[in-house]
Amino acid sequence: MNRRAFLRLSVGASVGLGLGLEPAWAEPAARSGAPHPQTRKQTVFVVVLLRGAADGLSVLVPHGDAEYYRLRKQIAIAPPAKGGDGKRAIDLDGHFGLHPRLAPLRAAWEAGQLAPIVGFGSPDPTRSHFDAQDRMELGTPREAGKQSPRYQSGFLNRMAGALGLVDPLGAVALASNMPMILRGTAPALSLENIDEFGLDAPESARLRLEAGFERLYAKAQGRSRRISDAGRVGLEALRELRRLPRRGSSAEYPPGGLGSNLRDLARLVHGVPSLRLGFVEVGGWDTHTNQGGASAGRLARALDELGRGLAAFREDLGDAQSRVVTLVMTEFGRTAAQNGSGGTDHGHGSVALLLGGPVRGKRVLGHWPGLGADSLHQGRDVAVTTDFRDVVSEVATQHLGLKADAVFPGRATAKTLGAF
Amino acid sequence: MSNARRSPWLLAAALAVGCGSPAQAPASRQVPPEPVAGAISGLDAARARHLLSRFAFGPRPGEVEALREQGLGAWLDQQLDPDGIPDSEADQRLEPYTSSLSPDQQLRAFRALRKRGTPNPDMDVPELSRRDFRDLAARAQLLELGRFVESKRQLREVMTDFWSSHFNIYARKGPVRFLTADYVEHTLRPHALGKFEDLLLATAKHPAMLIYLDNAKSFKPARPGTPAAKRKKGLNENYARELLELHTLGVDGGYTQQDVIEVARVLTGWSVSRPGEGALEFKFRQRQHDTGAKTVLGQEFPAGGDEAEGERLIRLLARQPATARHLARKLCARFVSDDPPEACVNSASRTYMETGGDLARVIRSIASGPSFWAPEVRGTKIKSPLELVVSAVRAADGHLDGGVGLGRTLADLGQPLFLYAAPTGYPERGDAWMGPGQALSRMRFGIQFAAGRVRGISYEPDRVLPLAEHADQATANVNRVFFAGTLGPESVAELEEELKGLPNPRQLRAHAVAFAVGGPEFQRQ
Repeated sequence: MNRRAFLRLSVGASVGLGLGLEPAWAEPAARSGAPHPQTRKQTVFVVVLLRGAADGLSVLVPHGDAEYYRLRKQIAIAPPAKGGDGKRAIDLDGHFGLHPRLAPLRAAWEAGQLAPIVGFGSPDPTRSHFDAQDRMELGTPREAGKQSPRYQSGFLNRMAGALGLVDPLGAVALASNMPMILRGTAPALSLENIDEFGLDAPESARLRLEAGFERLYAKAQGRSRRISDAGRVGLEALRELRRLPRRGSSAEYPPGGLGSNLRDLARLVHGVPSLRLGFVEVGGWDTHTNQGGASAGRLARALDELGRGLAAFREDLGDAQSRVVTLVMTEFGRTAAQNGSGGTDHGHGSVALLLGGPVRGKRVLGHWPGLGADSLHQGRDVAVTTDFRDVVSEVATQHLGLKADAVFPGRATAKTLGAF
Repeated sequence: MSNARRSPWLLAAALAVGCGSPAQAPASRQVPPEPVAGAISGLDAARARHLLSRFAFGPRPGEVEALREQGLGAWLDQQLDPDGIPDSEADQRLEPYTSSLSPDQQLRAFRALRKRGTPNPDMDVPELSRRDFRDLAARAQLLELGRFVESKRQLREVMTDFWSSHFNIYARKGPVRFLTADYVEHTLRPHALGKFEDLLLATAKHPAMLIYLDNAKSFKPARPGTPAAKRKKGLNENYARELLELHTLGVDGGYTQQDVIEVARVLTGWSVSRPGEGALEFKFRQRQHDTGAKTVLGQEFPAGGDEAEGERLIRLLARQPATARHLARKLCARFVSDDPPEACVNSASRTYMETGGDLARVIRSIASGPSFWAPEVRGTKIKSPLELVVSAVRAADGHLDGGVGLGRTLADLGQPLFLYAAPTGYPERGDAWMGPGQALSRMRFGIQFAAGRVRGISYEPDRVLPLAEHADQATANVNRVFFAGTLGPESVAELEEELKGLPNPRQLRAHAVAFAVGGPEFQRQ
């Protein structure tokens, strides 16, 4: 879909809203004289960021690798067996298997809509969560001997810019604060919960305040166009959200923030034709102690929520699944060996999950670096063999139809995984 | 309004000279030879507010009038000599944000906490809980913001904010979070209006910077096969690169990758004390230092050097014309326009070179120069969230209330304090701060401010904004308080229109404040 068609769509979504005021972001299309709103739905990219360094070796268990069981005497996930008891890895390809608590993702795998990526991560050597997360979200990892890029915006925001998004509901983070990944000059919105989003005023005053602000911002056009546009577009988005129909869906999301966020996101995919980018974050992965194994412990609980959440999201998307790609990633992995507290410490490479209709799944992607002493990064961590930027670029070009250097300008993309 | 149509150059001359200040010599350097003295008798309210919106965090009630009385020159003289301004009231109000524990004590208490279950070996530090640390960190971070609100030394505070971005640190890297208050209080603020090279040197030696940009871990290259080589200890170029690219010369400042390496070598050994070596502070480690000969920007640094060659290097960098230009451009972007006029950059950069990097003189040249007073730049800069919050509190004559909630407000508006990971610091350009989501956050802030629900601050609406019966009075009140009476007739009419028909004076006032603070006009300066 080209930019003009997209703009037409935006107009279709906003006609009749603006108190007789032409929405700021509809002007180019208005000039183009678009006859009818486009009905064809567009591709969507969702990033789920696991904050806190998820243990890749438990998400995708290398049960075919003897080193794995040597390094993790207490917390390894047992290899698959016939008629598994829910406490063994779920075999995917004879070498790798999913954590048993990720069983809800089996359907996506069988349907060819799930592709785990091994050796996934960032080349940045940091073992600080926040540093690593920020640099991943900006796309500015440090690499020895290289100047790290100077981007001041998050990579999803640059995607929004490259997609020509003008409607803030085109790029939405389900989060209370605007995450780094979506910060920048392209319009984007962060909201914690669709039904509670608004100006935070008593119902009786809210409508008056909204209408008042809308007129004040509109009339300021001649004095500051940037401010005027931002205010008007923001209020338009707010109103569009309020009109979003509630959906009767049989999808069962797990209780908690992740489920709520994914449910809202599915609602946006169905109800907001201009939505192209979504972001969801979930914590609880920093398992230094009591990581646990297949069924008990902190990691099993976190994976249970993740697996059920992603499976419910897939079901809820229904047919829209054919145009949505989801990348589940984390800032770095954890040590290959378990530590002295039944947990794992900050490491390097991890695993990502690529899901969705357009993905050529039922394959494990990437190069498995191995767990032998010589293969480990600095003798302790899973090595990074696939740079997260290569995967993001592949999604950008293959799924969103962007140019190769649109998201990480100045960086030559070396590899593609053939994920699509 | 006729004054505004005069040549900006003459206007600036008149402003700079015609104000009868006792110390005019530095200011008059910047004006053309034959100024038309007395062309205007002083500043009108709009110009006074323009000055106080850029060189201060907006006026408190009465400050626009006071400035008009005082004149630009006298105001600059006073603000550029901040130690001469009594500021004990600010100190008192900020008492709840200062900690009796030194950064080092905080760090040791934190380490003790992390080894839960083992007795605290440090007798001189109290046992603190995680909650205590969160509170401590929140208060330390608010100390800087608190001074922006409370201090009468406004120009120095604006420059402290500027340097906080220029010499950005990141609270989530290692022990940096215990050092933010110390870094601002003892490094940025004291040098904010001094010589740039002193400021640069102070940041280069502060543990927060040494840790943030990894120089503390930069070692002379190890000989192959030695234990150091096995531990992969070696040169770390991180700080050296940012020192050249961001702190001094600028990305187009004419240095090479070899210069980066040589700078990193000169600065090997600039490190911090380790646990057990006493308080966390700068420590030069001769054994970590590369004593070979180096060449930076064509200057020789002979073999056998020690800590002193690093200081020589810092001063060399501070005195480069490229540094003058880089800083002049950033300062003109801050004070004049996101796309700074060349005239401003040229003049500020020339002053920098002529005065050996005297920041007070550079700032005076900008504040009294024609670019700043050109009517077309007025009101064109979009406030950062921090500027929005501080200017609103000041306009309403409010104060911090001793709580820590304001940090959260800043985070909600998109500018959490000391949490910008990249060394570039928070962006100066307004377009980074004004998108649809951000505009909504600002409206929300206006509503909360009107309702008295912004945590961490308080003001007295009944004193500052008396209740009014009618929309026109209510409009006039917020115009006076939040805009020093300078709102244009269109904006006044628009605001008044929105306030019509509100049934009682309290509602009238709440809506007026919400629309004033959350509306479009207050977002720019």
